[in-house]
Amino acid sequence: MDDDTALASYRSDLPGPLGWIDTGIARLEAFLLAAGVLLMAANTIANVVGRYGFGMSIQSTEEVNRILIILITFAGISYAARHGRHIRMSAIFDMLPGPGRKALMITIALVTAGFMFVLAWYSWGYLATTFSRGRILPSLQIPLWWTLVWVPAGFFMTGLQYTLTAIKNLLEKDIYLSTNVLEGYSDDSDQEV
Amino acid sequence: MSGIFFAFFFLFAVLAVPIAFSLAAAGTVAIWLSSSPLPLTTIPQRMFAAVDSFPFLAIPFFILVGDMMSGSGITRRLVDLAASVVGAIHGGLAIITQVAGSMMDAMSGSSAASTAAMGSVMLPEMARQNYDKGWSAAVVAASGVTGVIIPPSITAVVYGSVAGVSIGQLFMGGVLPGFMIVASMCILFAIQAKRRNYPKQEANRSIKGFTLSLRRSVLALMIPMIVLGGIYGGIFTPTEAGAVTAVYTFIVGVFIYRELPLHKVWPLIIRSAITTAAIMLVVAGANVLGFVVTFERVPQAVAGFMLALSENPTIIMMILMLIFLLAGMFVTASAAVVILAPIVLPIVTSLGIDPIFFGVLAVVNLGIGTVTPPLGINLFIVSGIAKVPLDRVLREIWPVLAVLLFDLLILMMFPQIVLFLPELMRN
Repeated sequence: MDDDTALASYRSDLPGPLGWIDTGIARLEAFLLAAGVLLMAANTIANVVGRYGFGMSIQSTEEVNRILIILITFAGISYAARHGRHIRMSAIFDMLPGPGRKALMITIALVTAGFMFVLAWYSWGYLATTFSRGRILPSLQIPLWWTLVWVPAGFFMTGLQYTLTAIKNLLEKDIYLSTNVLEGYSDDSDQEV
Repeated sequence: MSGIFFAFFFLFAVLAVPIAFSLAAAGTVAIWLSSSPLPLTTIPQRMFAAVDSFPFLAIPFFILVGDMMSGSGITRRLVDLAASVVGAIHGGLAIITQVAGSMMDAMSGSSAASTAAMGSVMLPEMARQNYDKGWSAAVVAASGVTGVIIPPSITAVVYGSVAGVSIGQLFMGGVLPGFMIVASMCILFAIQAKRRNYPKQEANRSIKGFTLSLRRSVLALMIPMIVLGGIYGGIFTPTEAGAVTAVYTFIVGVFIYRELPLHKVWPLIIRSAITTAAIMLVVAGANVLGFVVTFERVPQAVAGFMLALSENPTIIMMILMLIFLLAGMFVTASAAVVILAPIVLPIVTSLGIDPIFFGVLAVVNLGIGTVTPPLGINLFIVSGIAKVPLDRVLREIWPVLAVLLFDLLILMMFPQIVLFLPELMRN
């Protein structure tokens, strides 16, 4: 199975119902990510066609796209973590011997998980504040807090991913960048921009 | 507070905590440990505000274009076209790599994506013709430098968004420097290949051969024309140009060239979305940095310190260029821009330096950083694809680096090379 197919058809190796839940969440995230990009493209193209074909722009294009980029970013955080795709500075990590890398990977995973849960908590607070203020988006006329729902959800799911990565590294003898991705040099560089 | 922030950021980043999380975590710790009156909800609020930004909407589309191109036979066609033009020079494959690489750069917007695509096509070919493996890898690494310079550049989109300057003008500003770098690389590799007595390509150099190659790749060559023509002609915003190009690439790859199977498109879209998320998260984390340094008036302090060193704009520019060059070695170009731009832009504006000129030079430095030993990302990519030890690539990269730094010096001495097209656009 090539790298791209692996991205699209994730299957958890967690035991029993946990595995089903993990796989289900991964599939949902993958769907949301792809649908987000496709909807952004369709929405933008529709606006161009409307402007040049019918002499009228779609008023809410920008708002819809901004909602979608928020969805892609915050739904994508945990999916990127699941596939070990976050941009990191790994020069020192790579120079360490095996046991050192293993210990550091567990530390990284636990520290990152901790911060993700902290951010999830505070972004929930931010969501609650926005909800209480009752602000709405000018074009779509929907509550602003709807666009924020993915922020705490994304941080929380990422925290779970890194917690599972730490557990995986504690239980297995290999070094894992995520629950499914073994450490090792990859020339797949698509996230380096 | 900013001292605490930077200390924790470097600690986390050096320990290989993802850059975005290092930034957010450092911000959290800095606010928590300082006597600042700021609530910690500031962190997610700043991260959300960064993502909720119109100029960044172009990023997923340019990433998707790059991903679809690598799976749709476009790279191979560009290589064939380049071969029909420059193949019959000593070490023709190296020149082909530079020319085809620049065409790829004019479509993908990413240095690493372009390097990986060119490497997978050209390195096996070079090995077949007995080129030195280390040299071949250095050639491919060099071909990716202009990935962040020649438009459409994702890094330029990020800089334009952070600096609040025209992305269209930044794109135009990257055109001449990009092609100047490609030309200088071609000259360098032609000289090296002649010295090493590498063979000429058995290219079909007849008009008929060229016409055939051109006809096979003309649809691919339309991609940069759609982007630049659309933006320059005022037809599209950069976001719209990205969306139109993505749809165009999809149609060409799936229905016309028929080299991109439909079942591969969905995974490619997911892959580009993940890449987008990873970049946008760095942008979000960097907005926390931007907030902390602005709150603490760090840019003003840095500006004061640098102006105390010298008030000569050239010397200040050289220091700033060195900072960007070093940053390009350690982190991705987009990450470097969002981390450094808020700090250095006040210095740039106080010296009266054109932000478009500075932006293009900063991006050129970040491009050079991708091939600067020991940590340039392109070096690792080609080392992995060519399956050649990194030290062999490093031995061959020094002349490339010398020429690139000479190019940078020329650009600094003659700003019109950068500003000619943007000024045309302004007028």
